[in-house]
Amino acid sequence: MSHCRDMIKKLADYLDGDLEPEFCTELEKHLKGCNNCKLMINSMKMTVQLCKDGTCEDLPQEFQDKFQQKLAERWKKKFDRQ
Amino acid sequence: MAIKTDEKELVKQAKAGDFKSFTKLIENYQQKIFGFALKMAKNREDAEDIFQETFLKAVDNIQKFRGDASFGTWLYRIAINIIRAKYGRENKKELLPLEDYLPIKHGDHSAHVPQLFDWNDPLSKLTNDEINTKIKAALSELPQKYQLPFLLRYTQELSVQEVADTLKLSLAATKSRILRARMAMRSSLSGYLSGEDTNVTLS
Repeated sequence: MSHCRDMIKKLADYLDGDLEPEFCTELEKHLKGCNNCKLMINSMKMTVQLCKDGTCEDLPQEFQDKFQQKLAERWKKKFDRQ
Repeated sequence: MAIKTDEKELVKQAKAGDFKSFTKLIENYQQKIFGFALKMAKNREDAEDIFQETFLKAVDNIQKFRGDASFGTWLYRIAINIIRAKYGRENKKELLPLEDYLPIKHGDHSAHVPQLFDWNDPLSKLTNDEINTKIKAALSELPQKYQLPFLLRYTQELSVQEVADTLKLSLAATKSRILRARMAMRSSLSGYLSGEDTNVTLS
């Protein structure tokens, strides 16, 4: 099984390190001779990496303080009723 | 995924009305849910609403939490319900079949052709803000049924099994949606990163 399309279908598992060892060997062998598949894998990896990199934004302190207050009020209301 | 032992004790105390236990229970999830809300929301104000509403609903329903899923899974489900209620039915284009994101076979020119080029080159010319804007745009094109598993897996770093549990999907359906979302994201970003439409024929 050396067609690029077949290879790429299994790529998500490969990229998540979740493939059976035989397929990894087969894929790695295929990649040695296939530049386009290398580009495909690299861009799929980078797609995820770029999405991960852009996720960090801390909760603003002022918002956090107001939120804690609301949470405490809601809690009190709930358990005072019981 | 079942609830962890230390969480179990905190849940027990919280259900009995101990606010400190509840605060400790949600401590590790606040930043995660905020990041998730920022990705799913149409704007920052909505993201703050989704975040706040998730934890207020968790207060209201803590006694209904049975512990057959992890506390995190339960919180994500609450957040997802809020997002669905907020945005209602979407009017987004369904993704192409997986086959159409793959390189075409020799002689077949009917399919949509993904572009293949070295991403390192265009990425070196873009600022972080420019990249983030493009990612946000690419994400917003994904229908929710793909957006959710993709984000839960890769930005929230849940395992595939946890994503499946959170969305109440089979493992196979979860894997398939994650892969299609990833291919669609790759394809959209390729379009943004290159000005050209390069046809590539593979074996």
